[in-house]
Amino acid sequence: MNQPRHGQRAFEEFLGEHLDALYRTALRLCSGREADAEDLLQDATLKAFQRFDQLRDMQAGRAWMLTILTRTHLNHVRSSRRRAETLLADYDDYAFERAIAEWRPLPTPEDIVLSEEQRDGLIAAVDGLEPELRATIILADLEELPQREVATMLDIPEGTVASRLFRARRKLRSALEATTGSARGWRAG
Amino acid sequence: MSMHCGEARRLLWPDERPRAVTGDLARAHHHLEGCDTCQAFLRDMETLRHQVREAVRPVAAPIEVRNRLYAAIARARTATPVPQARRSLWPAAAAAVAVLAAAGSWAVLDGRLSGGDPFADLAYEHSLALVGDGIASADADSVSRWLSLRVPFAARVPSFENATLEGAHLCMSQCRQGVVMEYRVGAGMVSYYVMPTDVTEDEVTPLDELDTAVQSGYHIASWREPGLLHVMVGNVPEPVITDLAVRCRRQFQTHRSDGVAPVDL
Repeated sequence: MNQPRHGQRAFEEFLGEHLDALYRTALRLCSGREADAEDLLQDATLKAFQRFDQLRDMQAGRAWMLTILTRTHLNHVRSSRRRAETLLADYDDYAFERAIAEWRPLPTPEDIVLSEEQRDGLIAAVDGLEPELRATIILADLEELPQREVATMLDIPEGTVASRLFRARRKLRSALEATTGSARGWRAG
Repeated sequence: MSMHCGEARRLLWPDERPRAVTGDLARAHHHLEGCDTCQAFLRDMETLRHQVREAVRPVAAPIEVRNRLYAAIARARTATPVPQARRSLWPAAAAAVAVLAAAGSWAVLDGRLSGGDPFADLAYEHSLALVGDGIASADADSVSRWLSLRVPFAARVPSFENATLEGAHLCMSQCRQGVVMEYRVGAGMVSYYVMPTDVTEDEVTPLDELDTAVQSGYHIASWREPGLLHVMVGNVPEPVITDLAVRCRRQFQTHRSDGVAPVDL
């Protein structure tokens, strides 16, 4: 285990190591709004600074910071969200199986290189996801954290991470389909 | 018995690693070998994951963002606590508890508390273990003495057979200083908050009643006495936190009957 050092200087060094990833995550969590991302990042950074002496393993530091960042964001979202705007209920195993069984495969699966237009469309689609789906796909796909770790970070079961990833990807594919056009014949599941 | 596509896809979900080897998993792999659409499904999930990574290209934090962050850290390092900067959750919590107490005894609110309620903030703060000035000690008398020098109310520190006191720290809300005692219960942690608030005799929670809730996976039990709001928050099962709260209240009741002065703000 990589033992941490503490104090302002040590925290600044720690922050410097992870700042680009944190900023990128904050930016996507805030749907690309730079001012909101900066506010979120500052809020999360100060919380992390207050708790820095509780970090036992520096190797877990990135996940620890991302947890604080993501939970801070979701807490803000939940606090400001009206009751009617709550996320649709998460799938149970049965509903998840039914949803993934309906998936229609891509006709051109080998074509994974995006055009500039598709890239912009995909970013816009990520930004337009519900906050819980967006946070899940950012942590799992963008930050490449294991599903189990994402479950711990978001305090949800692993199966819920899987179903949220699926729901997010289904929406992203629909967005890609829209930018790609009907010529390819993609169909959302 | 054959497996249908939905079950096979769930069992072979590509993001789950490592995966426990089970008979069902073996059957899912067997299904996959003969099912082109399931193979395509797994390939599509990988493709979309790759495309998200490709779309969101690396972004560096602008230098002005870095500078502002480091300046904020420097200010936080030297600044004294600013209570106004915290969210005003305690008055709202007191109001919520008043409603709950009026609604009936042992109100279980699982599922009824949703976004924006005060307990969401409380459970969240507990999850991140926000700490201020504090003492790390398993000795209830030492913790009680430390707290009594710092808050203007009787800081009573309960003892439990199944929970180990780890210490206490101060917290602030609405310019009022409260305390948080931390207990380890098995693999979980329970934070016991005592906050001054405007509670009249009429609003006191009867001794055989308790308000409970669940928020973000944390169980919450709360009650009020004149001038104080008590809230226990923890990542322990509901019966455990309820039992701790009940025993905590009984200890306080014993203290009172022993002649210890009640809280007087």
